[in-house]
Amino acid sequence: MPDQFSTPASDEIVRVVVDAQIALSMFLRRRDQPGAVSPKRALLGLLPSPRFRWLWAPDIIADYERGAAGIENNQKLMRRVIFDRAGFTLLLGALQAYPPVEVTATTLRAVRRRIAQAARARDLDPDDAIYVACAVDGDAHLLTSQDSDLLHLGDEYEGVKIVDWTGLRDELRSRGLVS
Amino acid sequence: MSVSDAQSTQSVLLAVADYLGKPQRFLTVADARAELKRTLELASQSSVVLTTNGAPSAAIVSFETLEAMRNALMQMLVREMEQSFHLTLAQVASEPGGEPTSEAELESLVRESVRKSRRKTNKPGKPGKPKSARTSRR
Repeated sequence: MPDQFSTPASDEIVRVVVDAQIALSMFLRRRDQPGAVSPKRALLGLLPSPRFRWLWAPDIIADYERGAAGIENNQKLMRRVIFDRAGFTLLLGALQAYPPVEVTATTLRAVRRRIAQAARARDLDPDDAIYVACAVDGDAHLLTSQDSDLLHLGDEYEGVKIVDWTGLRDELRSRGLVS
Repeated sequence: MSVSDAQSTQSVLLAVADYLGKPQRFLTVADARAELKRTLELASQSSVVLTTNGAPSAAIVSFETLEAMRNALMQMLVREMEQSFHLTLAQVASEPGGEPTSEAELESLVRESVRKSRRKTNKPGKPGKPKSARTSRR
């Protein structure tokens, strides 16, 4: 194989878990501003990069799919946007071109306990646990969420940085992945 | 896609084509197993087809080639995603209107949709979401 393609060392790969809200936002076309494109779509451009890996687990794909159905059934939202279902399906296919993270029951239990102990535990959604557990078991550098509840877990959990979209964009910039 | 991205995609595709274009070696599964080291050396140059009862049953390619093929697939999928998103422009044009909405309001509506769909799935009596977590440590 000629040198045109080289595989980076595993520590050079930025491993990221993306919550449903950010993943789904990329596929919304605003009806009031059709030309507007979500800056979050920059993540799609990173998918082919050997230095970027979007981690997934079957329960995360299931959560994305449930969220997509939720968007399509939300008439108030659908009056404001068009959901690009075909593009979203292609994303799921692209993610599954890499093997899933094997999330262990031990990690999931520990995350659920941590969520239950969080300061605003009553507001936290137990379904968020799979994202954190996937990040831990997948040795992710970053977990990005637009969900203030997940962000209430703190800046870091078991070595995984928890950041909002702006934080992720800054991290990717500092690693030279986006301009 | 920028010019440099396009050039990078092209070089990956050409590298894969170059590898796949080299003469394939055919080996029986038994021979490949008996001479695994040589089989891997062959695969570093070109694909090796393993045969069972004379028929091709599997192929060995170098890891770099596999990754380059995956990369090429990703490039194509991303292009398709962009094309699909572009098509929604025509849909917006055919369905004029749309209520003016702030970015914060949109985010809140998406969040509400995700939460509502989870609650619906997790209702008692409804089938739960799949449990993929394993009981053993990695």
